[in-house]
Amino acid sequence: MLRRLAATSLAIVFLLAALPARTARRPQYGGTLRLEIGAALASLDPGTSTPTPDQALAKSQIDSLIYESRDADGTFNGDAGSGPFKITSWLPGKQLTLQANEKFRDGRPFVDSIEITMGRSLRDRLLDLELDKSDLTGIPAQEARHVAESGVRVSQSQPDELLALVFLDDRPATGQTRTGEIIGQALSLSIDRLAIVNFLLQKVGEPAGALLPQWSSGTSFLFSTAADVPRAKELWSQITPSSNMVLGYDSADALEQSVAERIVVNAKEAGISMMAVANPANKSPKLDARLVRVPMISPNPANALNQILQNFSSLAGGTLNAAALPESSSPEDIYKRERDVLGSYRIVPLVWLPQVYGLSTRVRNWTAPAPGQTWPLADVWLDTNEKGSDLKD
Amino acid sequence: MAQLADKVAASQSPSTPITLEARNISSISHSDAASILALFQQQLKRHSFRFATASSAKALGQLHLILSESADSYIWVVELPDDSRDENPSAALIVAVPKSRSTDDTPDQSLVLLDEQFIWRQPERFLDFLVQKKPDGTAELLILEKNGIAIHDLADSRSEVSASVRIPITPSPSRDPFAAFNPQDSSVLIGDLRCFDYLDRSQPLHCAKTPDSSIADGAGDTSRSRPSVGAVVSEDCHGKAISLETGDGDWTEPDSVTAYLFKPGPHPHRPENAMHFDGPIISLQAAQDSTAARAVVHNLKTGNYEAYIVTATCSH
Repeated sequence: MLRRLAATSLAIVFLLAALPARTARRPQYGGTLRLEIGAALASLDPGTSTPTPDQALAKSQIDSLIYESRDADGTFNGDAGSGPFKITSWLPGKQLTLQANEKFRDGRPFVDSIEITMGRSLRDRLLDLELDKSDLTGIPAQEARHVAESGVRVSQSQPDELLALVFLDDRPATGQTRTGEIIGQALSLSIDRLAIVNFLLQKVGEPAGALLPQWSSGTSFLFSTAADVPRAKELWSQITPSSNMVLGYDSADALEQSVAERIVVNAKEAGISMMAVANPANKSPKLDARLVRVPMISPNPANALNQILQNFSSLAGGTLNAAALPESSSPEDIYKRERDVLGSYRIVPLVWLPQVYGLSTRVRNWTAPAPGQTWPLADVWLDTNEKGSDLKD
Repeated sequence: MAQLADKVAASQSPSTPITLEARNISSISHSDAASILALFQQQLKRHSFRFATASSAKALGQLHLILSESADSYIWVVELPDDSRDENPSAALIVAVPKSRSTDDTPDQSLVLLDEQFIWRQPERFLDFLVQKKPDGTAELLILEKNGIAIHDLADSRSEVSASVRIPITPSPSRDPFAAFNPQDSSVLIGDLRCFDYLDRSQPLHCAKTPDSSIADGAGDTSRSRPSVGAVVSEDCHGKAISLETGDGDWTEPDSVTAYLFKPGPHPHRPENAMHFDGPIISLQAAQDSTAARAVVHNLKTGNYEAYIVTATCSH
């Protein structure tokens, strides 16, 4: 028995010695990760309001770096510095420097520190990446292809943000329920989603016909994304809408604006009168519908659908079936709920967008966060030797 | 397939001849898809469905079988006939089939066959796991986490934690601590701690720092951030031993378990077979019976941590 054990131990030693060396891509400790973001945060205090979605996202990501625990609603809490990093300097709205927490319960992060520069325009962020003055920044999906072609290393998540058109609860032009359904159906059939993906998004993302992406539910292919202008015209001829429809978009969002303008062109081709306006600060003009972006917060299809419907129901009103599905719901139950909700045509899915990041060649162990995950900066390490020729994202 | 055929039988009358068309939009191979279609047809025939030729299809019921997939399972869909002009998607019958890992297509030449059994998944990271039988014959699953061991009763369909054992001392922090169950002496190694008596659920584990802490702690040591991930699972296969090894990527990539045959000494090693996973394998430990290994996989598609038993069988 002892002889057998000895032989096995010896064999393991020989085996490990003879197998290919696997240390080349193992993590290294040290270095400063330089991160640039567009949002400018005035405060890092818990409970600070964040007026824009960009600021809210940035605040949440930074919180995930400095706080250890997370509440059920996704907000981070605990003592500042209990997370993987500690704040060493903070210039509100401009720059935040974080240092690795040597005593972090999951182990010290690989990088020594992170410098986060805030309020940088997209142009400046991309320039800094190209000049190797930055290691990591977020990129709008519609810029991903152009940026990649310019030689910047790009990392892209699964499509996990839905851009949809939502008919508002008090829409003036669509009145009765059945008329509203026909208007929604006609408009949905008039929209050329493939053209939005191919031309406005430069083939990044995918047309959306369902409330969950295909990679998550496996059933989104059952929802058509094809345009059918003759059928849209036929439907539109069945009703007499009371007025010109008004579609709102976020004026700070270049993609929303271009998509809204494209939808108006598509609608007119089907004989549907519609105009696009920036979401008004006051009550005029009154919108019939608006474009909304909703990121998935969970890779679990049922949880993701629950959250997406909650977001939409606050805009589309009580007729939307937003009752929570159990986490363990079957694919068929999830499909039925999607079918039920989309059958009212109060929500018209348009495209699924990925999260896109630009990276310097020395960034290693980066994976674009999955839905509900935060930047994996505690796991990222900086390769000071590699030239990045074999990098994969 | 039987479940899907049952659903079709419950919603469609078998009195009318049907046609069946299949489309594969999943990652399974064409040959596997053809086998699934054949199996489905067989199941439908058991429900007395008759198949018509495609040329006579117009007057008959048309079923469309679509092989799709989500992040963690295959999705088989049957679209039912729908004559309405409604643009709403037609009614569909859907079943989910757990994914099994694919192996390299070289079974005829390979001396080692690999098989895997999915055991568990959870969003929180865990370091190792162990399935063990209880005195009453049922099985329980022990999940080794950073701060303790969570015990799940596998007979309980809710899979909730039935008990837990706390690790009273915090191991030295590491982003990649080595950790493993050792069923032979009921101990666990976690980071620089060795803890005993995990079978005794009445009190926290008895833990002590290991004399050689460099075994388990990668923090601050740039050359040993991740120990070698591999396991020797059998001693005799054509006169050689079988070892299982993970790939050489980092934590951003899909990974695989490759089986090697080896002899002590400077003999060349040839990969015999490989099994692919949707994310990095963060732990691979030889199981107690020495024919299998426990693998913990971080599924990059779902973000979950998953437990598998990978079994290597010598092909004689």
